[in-house]
Amino acid sequence: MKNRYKIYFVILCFFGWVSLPAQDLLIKNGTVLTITDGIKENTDVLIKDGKISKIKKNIKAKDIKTIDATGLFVMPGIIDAHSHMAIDAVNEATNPVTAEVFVGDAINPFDVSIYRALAGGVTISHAMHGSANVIGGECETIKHRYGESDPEKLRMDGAPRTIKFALGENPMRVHGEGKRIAPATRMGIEQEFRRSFAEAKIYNEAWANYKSGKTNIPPEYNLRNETLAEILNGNIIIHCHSYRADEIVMLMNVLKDFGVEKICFQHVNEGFKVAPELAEFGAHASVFSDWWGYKFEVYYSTAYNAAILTENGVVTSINSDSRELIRHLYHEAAKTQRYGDLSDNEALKLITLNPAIQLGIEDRVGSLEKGKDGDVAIFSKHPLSIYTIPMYTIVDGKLEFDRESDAADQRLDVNPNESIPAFIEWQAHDHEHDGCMYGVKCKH
Amino acid sequence: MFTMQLPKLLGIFICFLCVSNIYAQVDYDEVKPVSNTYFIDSINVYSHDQGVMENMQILIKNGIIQDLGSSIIKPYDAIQIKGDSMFAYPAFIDALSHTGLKKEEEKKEKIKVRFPGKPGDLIAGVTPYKSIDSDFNKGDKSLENYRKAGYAVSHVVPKGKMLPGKGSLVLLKSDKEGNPYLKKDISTFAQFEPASGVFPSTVIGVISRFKELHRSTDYKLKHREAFDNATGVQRPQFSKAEEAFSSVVNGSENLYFKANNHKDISRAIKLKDELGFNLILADVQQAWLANEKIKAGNIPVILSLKLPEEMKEEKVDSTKEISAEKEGLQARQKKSYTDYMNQALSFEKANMPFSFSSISVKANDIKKSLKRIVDTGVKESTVFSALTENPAKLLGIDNLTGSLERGKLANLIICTKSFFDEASKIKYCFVEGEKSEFDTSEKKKKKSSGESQEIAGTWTFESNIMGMNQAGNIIISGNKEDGYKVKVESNEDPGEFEDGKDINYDANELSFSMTVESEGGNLPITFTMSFDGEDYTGKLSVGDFGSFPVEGSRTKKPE
Repeated sequence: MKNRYKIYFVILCFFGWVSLPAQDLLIKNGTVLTITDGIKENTDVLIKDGKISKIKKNIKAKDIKTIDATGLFVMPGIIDAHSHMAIDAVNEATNPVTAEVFVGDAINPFDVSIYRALAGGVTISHAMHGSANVIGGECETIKHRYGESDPEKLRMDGAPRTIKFALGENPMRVHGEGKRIAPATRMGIEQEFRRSFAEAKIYNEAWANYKSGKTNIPPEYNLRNETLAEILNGNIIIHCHSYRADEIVMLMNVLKDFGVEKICFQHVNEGFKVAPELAEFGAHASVFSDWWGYKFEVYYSTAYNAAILTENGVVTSINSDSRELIRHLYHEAAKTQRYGDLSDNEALKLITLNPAIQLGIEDRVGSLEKGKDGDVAIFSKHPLSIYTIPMYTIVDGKLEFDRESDAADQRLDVNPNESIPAFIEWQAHDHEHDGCMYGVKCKH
Repeated sequence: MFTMQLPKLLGIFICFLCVSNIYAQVDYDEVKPVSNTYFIDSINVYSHDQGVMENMQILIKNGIIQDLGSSIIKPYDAIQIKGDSMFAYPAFIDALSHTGLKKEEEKKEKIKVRFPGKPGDLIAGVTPYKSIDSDFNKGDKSLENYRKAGYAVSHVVPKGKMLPGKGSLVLLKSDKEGNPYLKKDISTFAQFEPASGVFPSTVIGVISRFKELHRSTDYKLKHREAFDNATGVQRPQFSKAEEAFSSVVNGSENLYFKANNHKDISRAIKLKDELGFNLILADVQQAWLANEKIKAGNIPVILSLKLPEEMKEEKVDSTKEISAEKEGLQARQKKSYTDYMNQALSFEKANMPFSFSSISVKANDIKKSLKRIVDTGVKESTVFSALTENPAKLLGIDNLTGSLERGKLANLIICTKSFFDEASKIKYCFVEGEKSEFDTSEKKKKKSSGESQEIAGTWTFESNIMGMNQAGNIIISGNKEDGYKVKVESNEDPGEFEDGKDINYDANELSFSMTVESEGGNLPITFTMSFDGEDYTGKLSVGDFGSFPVEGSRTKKPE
């Protein structure tokens, strides 16, 4: 049976690759910020079949689409390690553990937010399950191939599997307060992890025995345990919604007990308190630049978080978690220079190579190197300058955003009977679900 | 004790009297015809291969087309129908419908589930074992409406959530005595419909539950095989759902997946690719973006007869300038309208056969939809095939029906003129030889005012406002003489009523407005409802957000 799935997968991949919009493109004479190999002035980048084939001065190529980048800054496409756009469902909030669900099953290729992210230089985002559950669903790494109607084509083929975990107030509120079931407390959350992993371990063994022929009848199939077992087997990277230092350490202890290594803590607002511990474990951190105070557990925060984590050797990224913030992640990265004095390259790594490492795709994207995917963002000024403007965004060598030809209406799926609405950015600030202070009048 | 019971007993007695009275009338109306042999002469007969054959005769006996030709002698006991210049077509087959099913009961009280993550299969909507019989009503008015629209056979699937149950082929006869099933439990029906408040409450939950059921059933079948072929093997324990779903997993039954839009189509195809069942895409409204995938996967498709509402040309106010932005938006909407309208055409051009389903439309609107499809350039013969021979093949009954041939079931319609002629009307519909005759005289148009119906009672409403389903009840009291009062109750806040203002009722059209509190302040809402008997359709305009279709039906009349 497994083999049959594998064959299907291989066939899917094969057709997927063949029909990808791989394109050739030459970017001429820009200031190239490679991230891994310094800054190269007046340099060309040649993309062939969707992959970077040369980074050199004066590349000559015939019959190729060319972008004149004279005076412009060329950097790797920005990667957002925490987003919820381009999917039709975020939280399956009916159970504290829902490892069986997968947001990649509900990709929405028509979400106009993808285009808006492209307009901010973002080429890849990590579409995540929400934080209602202790163990939420699997997430999907998507390439911003806007205009493709087939959801399969937005998937970044070969990107490792990832899953959402959540600590603290959200799962406690949804399940403990909301449904009067466990977990109602932080210690309850720890037990959810331990119970889930323990069950998955037994499940894993039962199936191993069946597959090796030790037992003759298949154990009861359970999709939740299938996924959890793959976490134990090291095939899925955990991305855990977290704020408080004590809980972060708690989860690392749980993972040690079960031999799980791959984890990236998300938000991790108190990460600065346990930065050495995170570094020692090999855990990663994906943070907001300066967003906090939207609920009780997020009060103890600092804009120096990213810098402190970086200085302590933790692979750190800055994420958006919002279809609005995703449009200016380069501003968010620049804040680490005001708060923490990170170098240009360190700051840019927070939105390029580091999120790529956290998603397990750093061998393919995150820097401008020969052989990597042709994912490029081109800015009018240095991307960390407050005056910079995104000019072009390229995915797999295909020009997906061009400021010059930015049409007024970029929607892909128009309902023929819907009356044309007035422009309302009604989900622009979609962090209201976290805003425990929302609607509470504050005395300034 | 007895005195308490007495009024009740009297009530029952009175009811009984009323009921028996009704039955007496029904029996009187439904006197069986003197013969079950019909002879239709000098009629134009539509054939899939030869087009219209003129001056033909059809002999129907015992529900079968006994003979069809040009020199048949009328048997002495046949009822003769003069077919002069009329047209006979094979009666239509509805490839997916809820015809004859009871309205879903409004469940006022929410079922409390201790662990919403682990509900029983029934609450979760995983009931692949369910047949339609408990909900199918042979006497339902909808059967007659479909006969009027030209249908003889319907593939009826149960109502419900993600896996509502098994579909059956029903003969749309008026005979209330006989067995209505042409074939029972021939298919399994699925849709991306989450349960409310329990797992699966989202589309990702539905897909994961589906995968799990498919794979667990697959392993159970392997287990059963081991059990059947050796001793000392523990007995396999199938759940009720797994037992019923086995026929999908082992490929002996087709899975009809309702997939209205492109995303649902893509999701259903992905599930088929991953799990390997026999997929039939049903009630499809936005297929053209996936046509290549559908063709490559050789996936049978049932197109929906629901089409976008006709676009009204906006009155151009020459004094006002239209902004370039608005003009652009209108142009895109027009293009989208054309894409939706041309769905069937795109299939015809690509040589992809298809059938039609009516599950999302009313029987009365079917002919209009068919005409609009023909107006896009689809050949009439393609439309007839989609209504007859294609669904017959798909449903495995092409040896029984779907064309007018000797030996097939006498399922046919007779129209006064060629079917798509503007003035054509269906005069007879034969279902397994049972004749229904319809009034083909021109109806007098109703006067617009003064004849409005009384609308007091409780009406449901359902609307999708920017991706969010809104539903509830509209309670209308009063009468048309003295005016109406309106109260609105949302399903999200049962027991909370909002009063309607500016109530206006004329020519079966009711409008009223109200204000609701929202996060951004007060939001003005206007309802416009156009009543047709026990149903209505209309629009709901919400502040600056635009207006959205709304519909519903009456669940309670004033006593």
